[in-house]
Amino acid sequence: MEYIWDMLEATGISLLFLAIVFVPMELVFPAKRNQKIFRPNWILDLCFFLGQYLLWSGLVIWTLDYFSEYLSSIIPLVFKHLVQSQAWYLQAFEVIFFSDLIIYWAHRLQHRVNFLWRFHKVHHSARHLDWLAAHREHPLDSIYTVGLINLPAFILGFPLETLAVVIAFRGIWAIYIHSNVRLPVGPLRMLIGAPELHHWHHDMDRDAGNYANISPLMDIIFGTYICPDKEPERFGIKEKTPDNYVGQLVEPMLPKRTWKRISKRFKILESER
Amino acid sequence: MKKRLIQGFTLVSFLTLIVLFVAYKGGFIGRSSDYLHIDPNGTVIKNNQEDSVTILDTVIREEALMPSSKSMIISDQAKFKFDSTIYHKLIEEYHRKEGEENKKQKVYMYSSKSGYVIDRDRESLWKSNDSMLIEYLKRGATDSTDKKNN
Ligand SMILES: [Zn+2]
Repeated sequence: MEYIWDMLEATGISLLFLAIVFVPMELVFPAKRNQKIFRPNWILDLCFFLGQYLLWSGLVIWTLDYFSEYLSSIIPLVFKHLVQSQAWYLQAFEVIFFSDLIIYWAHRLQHRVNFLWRFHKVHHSARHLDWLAAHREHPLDSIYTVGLINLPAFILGFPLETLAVVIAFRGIWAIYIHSNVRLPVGPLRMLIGAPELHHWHHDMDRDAGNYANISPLMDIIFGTYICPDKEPERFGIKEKTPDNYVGQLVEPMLPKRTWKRISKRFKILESER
Repeated sequence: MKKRLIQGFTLVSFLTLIVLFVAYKGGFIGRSSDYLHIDPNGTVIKNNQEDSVTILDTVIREEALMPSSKSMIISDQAKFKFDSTIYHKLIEEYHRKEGEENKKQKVYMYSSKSGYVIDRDRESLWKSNDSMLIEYLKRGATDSTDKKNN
């Protein structure tokens, strides 16, 4: 019981904190001026937020724990010893570099491979971007992304605790780049990323670009960096998607035909652009 | 002019909150590092490595031993505003934390899409219990330092 209360408390505090951080920025520096704080589908994104904190974070962490233990049992000790005999900052650099490299290609695959896109499109189905929409993410998509981004740390046996500051910054910045903010930061965006870049990743065009995790360096290296000096006209995807939480979770896991039958039977509304 | 002021204020607040958040998650502020530790001489030192369980353990032992080893037991206790219910709560908390030690979550990198802001292993920082505990430790620790110095 105490555990449930703790989770509710942490979720409430996180929600409140994020609102305090991002709502004023969205009001003062809006990217889409006409977008209200309580824009269409904000309840759906709130469901994703609550689901992430109350239901799926446990599953994701459990999978990661399991995965990391398995990996650490098969990686030869000699290799680990070799890695850990390097200077600390070198290990930290390697972890971040390889994480960014892996997640860049993993993200490109999510857009290219239809099976991965089924789950990833849930995140892209948001037609209004803001800090809350950042949490719209299928739990299996979370496991895929978070698993791969942590892979180098698992393999190298690097204790991420020592990078807590960097990880915290990247965590909150990942939410910021989804926010309805336009505040050009000049060349700094090449290093830390910015909403003006990530908004283009959420353009209706599935292959628009800007796949990198936070820092766009990988996009620059592999030629997928785009930075027009305006906002995309429309966000979202071309496919039909359910407008409710359960539908969004279930739809990617079923064959298209089965889903069609179910949505007809239960009259699940779907939106199309 | 007014618009500029609002923009400036919003930006400064935003950056401050981000810095505070990162400092909190990095363990620079909050219970996990910015707590007080009493060394064997009774001096209060800041410690970034030691765990709060160890600190609490030290304090509990210090507080439990000190009154008996001093002549001014009654005034000491009055000075500490020593409260047995708080004390028992602390011990309870201590044992609970000790049990949880092994289950502590590791740090993981977040995805590019979202991040878990307050983790379950840290959220207890916000509990009134803990702020009370920190207050208590600070009071007790400072007082014991004063006494030892006198
Ligand atoms: Zn994407």
